[in-house]
Amino acid sequence: MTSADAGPPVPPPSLAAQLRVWIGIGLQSFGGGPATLLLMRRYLIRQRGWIDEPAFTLDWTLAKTTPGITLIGLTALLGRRIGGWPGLVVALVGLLVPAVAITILLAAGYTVIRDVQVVGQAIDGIAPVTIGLTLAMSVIFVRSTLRAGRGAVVDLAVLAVVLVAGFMAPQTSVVIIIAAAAIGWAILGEAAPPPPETDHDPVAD
Amino acid sequence: MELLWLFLVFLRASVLSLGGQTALPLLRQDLIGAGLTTDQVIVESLTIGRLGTGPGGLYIVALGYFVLGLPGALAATAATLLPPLLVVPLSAWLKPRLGQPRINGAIRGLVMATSGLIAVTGVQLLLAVSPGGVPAPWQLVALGVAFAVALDGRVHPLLLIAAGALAGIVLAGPAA
Repeated sequence: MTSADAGPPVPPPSLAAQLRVWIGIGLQSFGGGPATLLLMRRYLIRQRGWIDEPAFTLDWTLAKTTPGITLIGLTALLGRRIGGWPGLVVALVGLLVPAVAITILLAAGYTVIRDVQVVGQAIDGIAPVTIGLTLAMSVIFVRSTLRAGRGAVVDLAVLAVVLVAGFMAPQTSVVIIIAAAAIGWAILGEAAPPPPETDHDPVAD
Repeated sequence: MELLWLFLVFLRASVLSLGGQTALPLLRQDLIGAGLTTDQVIVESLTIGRLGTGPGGLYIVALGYFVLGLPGALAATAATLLPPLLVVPLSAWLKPRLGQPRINGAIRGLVMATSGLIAVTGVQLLLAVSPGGVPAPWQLVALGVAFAVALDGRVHPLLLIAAGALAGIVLAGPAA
């Protein structure tokens, strides 16, 4: 087991063993980020003991503060922690190759059946569900970072400005994002939030 | 050339996002603006991202596939992979700064911006994929149920998508 500040365990598991575990996660994690996060914790912490809770939580927090898909950053950090640089490569390959292949196969399969009438009807039902899930993700993101008291009022005021700007000037997304980060740097700061709950984090993405 | 442009579009969206879903507004803006995709295809990509394994943000791979076939999917994969890897060199710098007010504030601002833009995009997608720009009442109910259940977080998204598909088959009718 590793602690949040320790290096890789001694001796590290073989690369083949690491690859097997990551491929298992990549093949089984149907349902997006929360399912993937759950399997990572199950295999890496509980079953194999390659990572301990503080290390996992620290890497999750670091990954959430950097750009792009959080779980890819987390996978890179955990892989390196477990097996050094080779472990990082093995982790990314093991998780992403199956997941990307499955996604491409699903997309390719869908293009074949896209014009079937019943598929079109199903998509009419799936579309609002998918959009509902996306809207929920937006609310979950906001809740995860919203401060208490007067801070929440300021946070929500920034959010309201973003919503208005997003509807009124949809071509300015980049400007909105950069401006919000700058405003946040200036006035939205506060002491660190409590450590995230990583057992089933709905923000996992 | 189109492939390089597509790669750069995905890369920019990924660099300016915190999590895969938050890349959606920029991708929609760029790809629809260039006439390379439609709102319907974006919704289909989001659905496939939910159906597959791994991070939900891999809807971007499906979107790349729909825009430019297998090369598009691979370009999307590469562009999506690179920005999160910044965490590896940045982690040594970030660790002692986690919890600092300025850093927290900037992240909070980013979350507000990207979350707000996701909400805007969600509404725009709903209107765009609805016939005549008006969703049917049963679709609004489906959206509301999915939204509420997803907030609760205890029901697997695949079950919600399956229920939505069933509702569509039963309620949309052959003319839909």
